[in-house]
Amino acid sequence: MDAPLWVSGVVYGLSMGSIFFLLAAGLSFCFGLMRIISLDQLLYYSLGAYVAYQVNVATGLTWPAMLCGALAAGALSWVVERWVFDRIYAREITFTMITSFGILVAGVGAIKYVWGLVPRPMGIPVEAQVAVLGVNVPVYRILVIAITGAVYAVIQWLLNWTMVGTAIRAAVEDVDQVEGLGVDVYRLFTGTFVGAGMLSGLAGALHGPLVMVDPQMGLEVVPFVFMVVIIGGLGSLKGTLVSAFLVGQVVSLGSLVYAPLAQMAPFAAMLLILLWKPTGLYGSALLRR
Amino acid sequence: MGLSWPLLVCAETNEDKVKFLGYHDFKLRWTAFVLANTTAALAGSLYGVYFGFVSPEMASAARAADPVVVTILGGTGTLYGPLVGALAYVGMKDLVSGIVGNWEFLVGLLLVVIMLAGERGIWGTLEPWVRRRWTWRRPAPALQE
Repeated sequence: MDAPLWVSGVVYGLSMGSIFFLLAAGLSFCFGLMRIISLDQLLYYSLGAYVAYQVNVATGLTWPAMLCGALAAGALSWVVERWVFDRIYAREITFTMITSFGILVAGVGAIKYVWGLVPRPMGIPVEAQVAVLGVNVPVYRILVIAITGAVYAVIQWLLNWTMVGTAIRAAVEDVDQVEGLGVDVYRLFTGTFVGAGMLSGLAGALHGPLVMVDPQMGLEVVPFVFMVVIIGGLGSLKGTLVSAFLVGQVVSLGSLVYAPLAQMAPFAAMLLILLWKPTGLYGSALLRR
Repeated sequence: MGLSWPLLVCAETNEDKVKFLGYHDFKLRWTAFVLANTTAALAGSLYGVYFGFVSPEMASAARAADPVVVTILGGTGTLYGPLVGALAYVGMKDLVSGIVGNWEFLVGLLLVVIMLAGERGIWGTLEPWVRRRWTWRRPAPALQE
């Protein structure tokens, strides 16, 4: 195995991990704060990619198209939260999972109806390549990693330095107490859900140029995203970041060593980590409500 | 050791009490787990015989959701729930895909509506009513003074 392959493998893994992080962060927060398993994040992921593709085709712009994708995903998640999740927050967690699965299936059906079954290629914003350790690497992949880093920093700032973020962190621990303090937790829920939806949409839009945009793209990442959430520890942002990059690397480097490992290695890694730390890398003991 | 439905319900409701009664709690769960997975394996082998081919895709993520959907749709923790759920889910798919080509959208919406309508799933909601209607055990006669 030669060195250039490894360098490009690491960059590929990091960009892959970035996409996983953007998706898993939303899922992780939805679980931590609202105790829902929001499978419909994967719909917002697909929708973000498709809207970005459509705006890109219509106007020729790339970065604004991605922003449009994220905003469209946020708008849809707001509608879904108001109409569906608002009614079922109080119910059991498996229940929210099936309901969101219904939303996911319906959304994928709608996407198939609008855009058809054929995968669509999406324009890449930056064609250039840059030399990293003597290996040519697409600039776009590095930009994806940089954007994810920026998003992580913004979320950390929101959580640690603003009142809303403080309320969210407190509500992850004990939502009743926060409500008792006079915080409208349902507005907090809405905000978090829309934020998660926008992150998922951004993930889809950023991932669009790297893969083909197709209706099943949300279902393809399901195992990896759940793995990231579980390895990182539910509700922990830092853990999600670490585990996203870990899973990205395991997929990418594993496939370099032996191709079928790309499918199998992440599961083996998850199994080992969970045997070592049953609550995930950074998770505290599972909070029950 | 004896494994019975009431015992399993007991274990779900009050684990400590089952232990206290002298049953090995873990063994009980273990047996139930093995039994459940044997049933799943039976489903797999029947699938192979029926469709005439098997592939690793049988365990894909897209299919992994179906049993969970069926279980919750029917109602968890009930005996006939999965049966009703499976009939409803597959029937729904079959019916809708016969009417419109793009069945996923409608099935997804129906699933959401059903989930919003009842918390206990289809059978969980229907069961008390069915029992009242077609009960074969007469209700206990009122106490006479």
